[in-house]
Amino acid sequence: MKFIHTADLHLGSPFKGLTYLPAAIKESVVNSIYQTFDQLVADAINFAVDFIIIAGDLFDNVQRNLQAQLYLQAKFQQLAQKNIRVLIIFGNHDYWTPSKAIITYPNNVFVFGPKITTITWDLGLNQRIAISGFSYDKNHIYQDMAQNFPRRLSNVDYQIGILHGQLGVAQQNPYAPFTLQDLQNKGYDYWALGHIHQQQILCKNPYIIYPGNLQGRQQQESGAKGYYLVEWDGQTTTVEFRPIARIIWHNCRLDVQNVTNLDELLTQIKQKIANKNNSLLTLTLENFECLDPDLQKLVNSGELLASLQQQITSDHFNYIYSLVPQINSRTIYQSLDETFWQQAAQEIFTPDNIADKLGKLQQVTPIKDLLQEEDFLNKLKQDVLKTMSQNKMED
Amino acid sequence: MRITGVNIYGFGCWVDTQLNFQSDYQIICGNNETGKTTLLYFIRSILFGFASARGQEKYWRYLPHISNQYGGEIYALDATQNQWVIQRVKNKKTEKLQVFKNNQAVSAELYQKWLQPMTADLFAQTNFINRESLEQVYKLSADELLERILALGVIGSNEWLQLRQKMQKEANSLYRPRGRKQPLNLLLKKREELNDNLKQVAEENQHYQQLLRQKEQLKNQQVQLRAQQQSAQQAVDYWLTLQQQWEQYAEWQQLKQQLQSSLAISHEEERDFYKYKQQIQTDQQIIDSLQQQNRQLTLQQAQQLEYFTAHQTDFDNLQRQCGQLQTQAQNLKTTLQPQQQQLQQQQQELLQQNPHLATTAQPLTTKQLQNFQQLLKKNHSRMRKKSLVVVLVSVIVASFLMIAGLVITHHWILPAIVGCLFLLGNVWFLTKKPFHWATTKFTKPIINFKHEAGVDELTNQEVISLQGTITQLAHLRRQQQANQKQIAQYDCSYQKWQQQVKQLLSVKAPQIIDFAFFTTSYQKYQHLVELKKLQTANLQEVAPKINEFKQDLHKQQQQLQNLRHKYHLLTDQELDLLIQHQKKRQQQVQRLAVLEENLKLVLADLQKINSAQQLTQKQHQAQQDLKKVQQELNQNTQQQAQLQAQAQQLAHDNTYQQLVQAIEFNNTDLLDTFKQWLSNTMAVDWINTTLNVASANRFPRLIKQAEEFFKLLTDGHYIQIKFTPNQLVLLTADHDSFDVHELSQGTAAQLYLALDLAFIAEIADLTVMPILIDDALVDFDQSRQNNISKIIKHLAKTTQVIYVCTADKTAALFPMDHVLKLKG
Repeated sequence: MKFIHTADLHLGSPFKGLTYLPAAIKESVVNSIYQTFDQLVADAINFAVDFIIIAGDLFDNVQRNLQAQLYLQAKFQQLAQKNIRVLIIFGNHDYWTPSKAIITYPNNVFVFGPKITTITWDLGLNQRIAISGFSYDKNHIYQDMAQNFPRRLSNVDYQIGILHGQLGVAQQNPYAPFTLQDLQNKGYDYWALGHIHQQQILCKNPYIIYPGNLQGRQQQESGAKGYYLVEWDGQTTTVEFRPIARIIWHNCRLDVQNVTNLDELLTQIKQKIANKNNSLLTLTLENFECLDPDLQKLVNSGELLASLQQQITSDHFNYIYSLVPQINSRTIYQSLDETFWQQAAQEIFTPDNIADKLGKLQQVTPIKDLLQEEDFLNKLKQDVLKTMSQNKMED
Repeated sequence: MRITGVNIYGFGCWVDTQLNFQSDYQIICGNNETGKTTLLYFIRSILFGFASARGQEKYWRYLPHISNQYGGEIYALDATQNQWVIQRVKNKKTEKLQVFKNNQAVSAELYQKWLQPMTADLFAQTNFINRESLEQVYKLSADELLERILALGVIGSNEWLQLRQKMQKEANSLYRPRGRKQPLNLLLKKREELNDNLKQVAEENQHYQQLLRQKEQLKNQQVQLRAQQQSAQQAVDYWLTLQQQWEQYAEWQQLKQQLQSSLAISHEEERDFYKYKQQIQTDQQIIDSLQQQNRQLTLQQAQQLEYFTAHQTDFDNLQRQCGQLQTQAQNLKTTLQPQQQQLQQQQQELLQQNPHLATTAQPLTTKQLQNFQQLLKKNHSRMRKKSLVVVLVSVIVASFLMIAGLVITHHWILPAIVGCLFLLGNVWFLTKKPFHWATTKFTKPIINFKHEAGVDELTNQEVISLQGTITQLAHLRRQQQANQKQIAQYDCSYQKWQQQVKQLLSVKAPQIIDFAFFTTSYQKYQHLVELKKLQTANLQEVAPKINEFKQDLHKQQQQLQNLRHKYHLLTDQELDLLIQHQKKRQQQVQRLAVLEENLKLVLADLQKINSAQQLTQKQHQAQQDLKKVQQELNQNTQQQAQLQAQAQQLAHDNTYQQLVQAIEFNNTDLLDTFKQWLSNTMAVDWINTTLNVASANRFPRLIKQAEEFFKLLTDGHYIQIKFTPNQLVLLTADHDSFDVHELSQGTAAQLYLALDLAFIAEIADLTVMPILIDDALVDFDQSRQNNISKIIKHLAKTTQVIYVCTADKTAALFPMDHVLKLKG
């Protein structure tokens, strides 16, 4: 028996953290989520899997982008022709609604409802399989849903639990918090998890796996992305992570302390970012203050980045979308006692003071989100120091 | 620093002057133009440098009027009682500073360090108080004041303040709360627009579902319409079929009617009919042939015979006359007519011989002849006399003419000729016409006589001579007339006969009645008579046979009649017609059967229809219905196609995706810009706060001190000073608040003084420079003057005050040893 375990497709999601994409790569970047899923479907057919599990967040939002819905419908039809089942739960992003604006899927697709349900069927060769799961019907579920899953059925050969959730404590975590113990206690053969975008194996006996999202959409979702191909030979389960994401996000760092001229800088940058995949990168230039002031100017004015971006081609690209000069900000305290700065920082880096500064800007959603980010004040302080350093260096 | 004295080499009006100052405070009192202000500028110039020749400063240069030397010395003590001498001179362009500490020359840098953080500008701004500077209060803001504090409060703060300013500018260029063109403002605006767009586009799901529902409805409708179309088509076909059958139906109807109204006759009867007919004909033929044998006179013949018999006498008479007339006619032809011709010819001949003889000439009796001869004699004698007279007259006229001619022409020949000619003419006339000339008058009885005798044309002689001929002519004429009479008699008889024949035979106009005609007719009648005689002999033999056949004939006719009666027919012709029609009827019956077979399925339906027109109407209506349904169906199909296209378009429209991505681009851009702005804004705040911290929160203390000073200076009227972002507000003891602009000039000056002195007091731990006050308090009233003296005395504990004034009463507020009076 073979199946594919994937989750968090986030179809219809935009790519985040970009302000612009050159025409040469825009199409392939924007379509990469779909192309990656195309690959998954092709693999499913190639490997002749029995079914595909999608553990929530198929869509980026509850409204379910129409094109994405129609796309999935078409793909599921393709799978139906090969008798490949698709088992779906909806997650916090695309939680189940009674909306009429949902496209119906072909018969090979089973969508779990808000109640925990178990379906069973025979795979042939006397293998009987059971799959339990549920869909979100709101964006937050504080309950420990895992506890409510039924115990393993005695009359089946293999049982899988599908859960979109997060390790955590009930009533504190909003995404169906669970403990490993919860899952292990059920006696299932495999837990197909979703929600966490970084692929990870929480447990090997039984396998409790986050496949991560299929295609990264932002800096935070860097590195290889793909799905798990799971095979059970009747006795043991083997898993294989298959990275198929069309676009890889990378965060690179380059120490420019010893860079003396532009040629050197360019060469080192190119070496650093070289990657056989198509990739979107941020490049941090460490010890930027050591760089020649003229080179600093090239970076600060954006000229260097613009010229790097201009060289991009559509067939294969390693696109730097952000070039970050990193400055050792200790230099800033030169003429003043650092204690004054720290004392002042304690006074001003407070939510109230920032709220005063922002005024109505606080209402703007992305800014609001930013303010609520963990460690925002600290990051802001670093940013301010950086900005001051940069300005001071320019003087 | 406390100044203990000055040595002025040359500065304005001052030349080589030494003055000693009290180190706590020094009042310098003097009238105008005594060099009070100049003295203050001297101190400032020696401490910080001479004023340049440019701008406003040129008024403070105070180049010496008399002395060659420009500059002087200041003697001062520092906090640790070290003695300092500051010497500054300027020769031509070179300014020279020399500083001695406890009589030891020290570097300018050391001197600078001593002054720090005080600068020339700050000194001018804060330690040099005159009436102009008091007016600065109107422009003073908390920031400015703070900046002044910060400028003094932290080492190297200027640099930071510059950075702060730069970053503030940067922040402002990125975003302003009410800005429009700043990048962050633009991005926010774009964000709103994009979100609005997204809201619209986000409906596409609903729209798509709606389209699907509409399509479903249309499909259902289509199914219904298809059914309707089918039934409508069936209706059309049905009516069309009926219509196609209508012709046959009409024929059927007609036949039916015809067959109902027409009579059917059996074959036997038909056969009988023909048998009777045949028999009758045969009988008739036999009868005819028998009757031929037994020919009887025709009715006409009988009538003719009867007529003839009745008029036999007349016929016989006319027959006899016919014979006589024929004889007469023969006679006429052979005798009389040639005789007549001969007579005519003889007359002609006679007349030709005597052309003057008229046919009418009558022969004269003897007596008549004698009378005529007498008449002739009388007439001849009268004629002679008349002739002589004429000859005589003629000669006379001729002679006269000759003479007249001679006279006129004087020639004799011509008149002679004329006279001769005239004579000859007369002679000729007399000879030629003597008879005629006399007739009219004398021959009338002769003419009448001749006329009566019919011989007008004959000469008198001929009348006599031709008497024989004339007699002969008259004889011929008489004979001719007798013949003529005989012919006329015959004609009369003939016509009379003809008339009788005509009457008897009733002959009509064109028939020429002549002897042959009558004879033929007569013979015909004779023949009839003969015939009659013959018939009478034959009749008795054939009649029984004829009778027999006639009886049979009658029987057959009776049969026919029965047959006729049966079918209510009047004549045999009708019956015949009926029988002839019988064949046609048979065909009709067959046709009817065929039609009924053909129409079997629709006959009942057809019978419900009144007319072809009605059928056409129905069929038309059905067509209309079908057309309507088809139209609806087409419309439906079209709508479905449209919906399909719309749905397709929606399905392939990635506007939503693009918008979401555009919003994400915008968000990133917006956050980047925001972070930049926030970093700059926070940097400004951080620098400020840090400097403020570094300057130990002097500002609140400063305000507190200023409030105390201001309260003193205003006699306790004002108790609080408040800086708001845009204005400086003062609160009275009665809790009324005033804007700085609402204060009187005096109060405003007091406010400035209070703030400035408070500032100097506040920074006293950093730098202690003398305060130079130039007659600034001249407008103060007595109690305020008193208060200022208190302040000055209070300030003097930390800072030296050098106060120049004009009024003695001000000076009187201070002890004499602290007052220096200048004399002009």
